[in-house]
Amino acid sequence: MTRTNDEWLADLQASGRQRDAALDDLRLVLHNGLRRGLVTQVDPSAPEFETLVDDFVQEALLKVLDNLDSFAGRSLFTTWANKVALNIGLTELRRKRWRDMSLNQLTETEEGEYTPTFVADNRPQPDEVAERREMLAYVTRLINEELTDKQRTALTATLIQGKPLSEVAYLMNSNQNAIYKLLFDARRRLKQRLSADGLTPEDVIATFAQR
Amino acid sequence: MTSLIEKLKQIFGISGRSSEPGVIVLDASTLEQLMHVLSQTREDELSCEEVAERLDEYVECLAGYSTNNELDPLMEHHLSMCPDCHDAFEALLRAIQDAEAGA
Repeated sequence: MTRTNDEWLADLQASGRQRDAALDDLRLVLHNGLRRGLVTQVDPSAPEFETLVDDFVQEALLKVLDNLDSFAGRSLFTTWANKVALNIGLTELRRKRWRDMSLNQLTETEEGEYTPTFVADNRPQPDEVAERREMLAYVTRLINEELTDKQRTALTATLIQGKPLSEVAYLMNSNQNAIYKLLFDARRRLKQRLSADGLTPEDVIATFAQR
Repeated sequence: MTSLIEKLKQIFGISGRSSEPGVIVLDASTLEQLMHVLSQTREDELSCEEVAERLDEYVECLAGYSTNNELDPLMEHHLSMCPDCHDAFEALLRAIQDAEAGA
């Protein structure tokens, strides 16, 4: 059954059969949306796929019902509900994928926690030019001097380890939005310092493009 | 006692994370990656929350459901900078486009 946004809201806030019918329809919408949306994240032929999707649908239904007031009506209700469901699915899948590799592997040793410090790669290379080595040392100094401990940790986790922001946030007891802001501030800081020194990121890249 | 120079020489042979706790080796590849990200940095970037808030509207616009594309440049920029938001964008676009196609 096709509903307008207002009809979805009315039916889901009604009671009895009207609400049950809307819930059944929404369950189907979310199930199909998750199956399509997550197809590149999980193999749909994997035995656990249907169970995973069912779990996400259940969690999403509760979240959608709890947040009906926040639906602003700027999109189709079903698009908004699919957004909620996919966010739940993607977050959980990332957690499953990354949970075996905690941030502790990067920031903790038997001697205790540490904050990553950068050093320049100084391996001799046949075609290496002195300028490149100097540039590596310069950027390394920038990172160590300009960034906070948290910024270096987040930069390392994302840039070196390739972790998703949401997982870095989870491991740093933060949230994705705050981690993005942390990295944004770090990027701005480094860019400003480069500029103050009369350089642009493109200048640095050009140094390494010379072969 | 091992000098600092010698200590650094020992760990320079490893790209990315070195064998020394807390020491990250910045190699040319990582540096270029970082510089590309810096070159894309702009002052008016949207936050993840702002993108998440507008994602359904943006995706519908791309799918041809609406014509409101005022936010496109900033949304597009954030999606190119944030892999998490980009995953959410692609998943939602796939979900509604394939639904439209009856898949």
